[in-house]
Amino acid sequence: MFSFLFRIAAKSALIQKYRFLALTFTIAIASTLLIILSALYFNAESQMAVELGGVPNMVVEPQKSIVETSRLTVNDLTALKSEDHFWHNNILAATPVMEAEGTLGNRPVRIAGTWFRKSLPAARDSFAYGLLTFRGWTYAGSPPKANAVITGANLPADGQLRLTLNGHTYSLPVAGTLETGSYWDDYMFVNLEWLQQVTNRHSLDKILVSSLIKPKDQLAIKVEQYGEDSLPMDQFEKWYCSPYATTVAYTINEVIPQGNVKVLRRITEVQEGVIKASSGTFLALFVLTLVAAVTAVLSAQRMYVSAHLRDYGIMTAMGASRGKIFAQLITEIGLAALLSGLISFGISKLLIGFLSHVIFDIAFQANLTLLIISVAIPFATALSALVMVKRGLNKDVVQLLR
Amino acid sequence: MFKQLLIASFRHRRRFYLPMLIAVSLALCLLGGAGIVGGSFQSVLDREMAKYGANVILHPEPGEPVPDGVPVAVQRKSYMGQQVEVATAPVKRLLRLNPAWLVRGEGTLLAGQETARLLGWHRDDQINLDGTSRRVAILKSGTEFDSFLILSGQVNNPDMVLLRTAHPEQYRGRNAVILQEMVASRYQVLASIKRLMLSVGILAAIAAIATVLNLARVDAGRRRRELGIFKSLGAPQHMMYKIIGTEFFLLAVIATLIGFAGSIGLGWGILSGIASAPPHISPDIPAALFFTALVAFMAAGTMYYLESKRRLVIESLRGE
Repeated sequence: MFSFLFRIAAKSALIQKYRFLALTFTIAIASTLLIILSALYFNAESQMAVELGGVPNMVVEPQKSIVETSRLTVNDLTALKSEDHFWHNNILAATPVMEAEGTLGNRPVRIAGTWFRKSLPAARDSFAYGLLTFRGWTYAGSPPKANAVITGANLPADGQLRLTLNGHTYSLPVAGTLETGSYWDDYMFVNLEWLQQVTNRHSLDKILVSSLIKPKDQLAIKVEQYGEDSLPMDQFEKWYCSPYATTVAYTINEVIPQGNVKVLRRITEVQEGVIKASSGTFLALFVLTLVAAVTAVLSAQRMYVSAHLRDYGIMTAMGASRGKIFAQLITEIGLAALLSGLISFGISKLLIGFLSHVIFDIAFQANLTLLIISVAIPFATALSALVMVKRGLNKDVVQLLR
Repeated sequence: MFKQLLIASFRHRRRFYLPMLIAVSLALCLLGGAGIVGGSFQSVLDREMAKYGANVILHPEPGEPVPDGVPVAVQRKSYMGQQVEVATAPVKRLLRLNPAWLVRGEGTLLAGQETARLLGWHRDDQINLDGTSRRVAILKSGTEFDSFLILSGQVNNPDMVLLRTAHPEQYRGRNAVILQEMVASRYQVLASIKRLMLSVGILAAIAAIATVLNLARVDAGRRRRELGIFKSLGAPQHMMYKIIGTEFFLLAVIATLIGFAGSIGLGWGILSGIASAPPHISPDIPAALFFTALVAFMAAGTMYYLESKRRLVIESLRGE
């Protein structure tokens, strides 16, 4: 029965080949539009968060109390990307900082001992820590060697600097300049191990962290105002499993208990605000795109059904039942939907990579679920063709034959 | 006569023209909405960037004129055996300038979170400070103010002045810290949003043209029959093109008007409802919408022309 239906449908499609192709290509265009835009919209939010997450939004400092001050070491830094840290995937960049004061000629200068770029084993593969891994900071210069310095944007950047530290003068080559747009522009950055050696200190003053965060909602606001201890267990779990700034800070504190995690609120508030505004906009545009795509598919089906009404009239005149006509139409439209699915899959795969590169300078893939949904839409709207043909078949056979 | 022909044609084709108009207007809404959102996103970003708070911290030299900002005077005092920095500032103005700062509690003594931790203070604690009993509120700012105790008061000789200005560069070279951390990200985000909106617009325009072409194909048979009648009655070729051209031009105008109104509604809805910002409508938008509508409908007109070209009158009369 099915092979007979398939042969009839294929024959019909061949006879009306231009209309069948127009239907297939319209469905393919609409599906491609949906797949591409859904991939863009749904990746845009996270990509936007990554773009905004290029600067440190948290600082871990040693905990101070009246009795004692705890110590931070580079081992604490590596805990950020370990499996023990619940939100380790949301850590985008991190660097250790040890501060000192020296003089540059006669001018006092603040010095930060840090890693420029250093790969260490992490939960998965390895992770590059260091000053130059913050995407929001602009570095101009050559890759720094271990004995080189990087100067902040507000400091002179000569080829060789004479730095006086603890009564000793060191001649250090300048590798480049870092522009952060913050008070770090007044710092001179040197290799952490070198600074530890010359100052004979081994503890860190702070760890700068850039993390991917989610805009806050009522639950996160409640935690900000009253603390996480105020939450009942179910709300605590919900809060813990969402990457709000407060949650990420809390989980960092779990793996670095001797640290005090300070959320840089002027950064996180801006990040949250922009992400929230962007994602709302993307969602609204996605809904409209969906409507436009469905309209395009419906118009193509209408064109196809209208063109076939005379054939259906002949079939009715020859005694074909409505059920058989419906079955044939569904097979034809299903065939077009299947073909368009294959076409749109291929085109979207190519275009998503291209467009995501043009828009965000990064390549991302279509979400599989969205891909399935987008291809399923033509099949779902095929049902609307049945309504159109039913309305057509309500007419007199003679009218149909005309 | 021409007007009557147009009216009759519109009336007979309302089943095709209505979905065409809906499809094109929808696509134009999407295109215009994307343009308005892309163009207005700058103000959304500016509003969000304002949450960053003060972007200049000026330490005025003695005798230097103090700009109009929030003045802060800092003193070191000893409390409970700890050296604490006490800042005096107009607190309400300070908090208004820095909307990202979080204050927990309703007290009159603002204790930075680090100082509060150091001194073992909690929100709503009652503290006797310089002979006055005060209720503690905790400040979480993520700045050096977290290690201050802040008292409200007027300042005549400030140690620092906090400012938010659109031109922070004017303070470069003075004893000032300029904070511009998110500026680079702002431009990146804005550029990405604009490119995304442009892609949405182009894809929506393609969908609109595809829809109109499909509906034009549905109507092609009837249109050919009509053209056949015109031809057999001796109507000149240009007359037929004039009718089709005028119909589609009018449709393009109507679709542009609907699409533009929809774009404003959509842009306003998205920006006010979701991003709480008024829409900025560029004069390019109606022009772009009209051009897209014209292209979509002219594509349909071209299809009629191609379908009727090189056909005999008898074939046209049959609608073949």
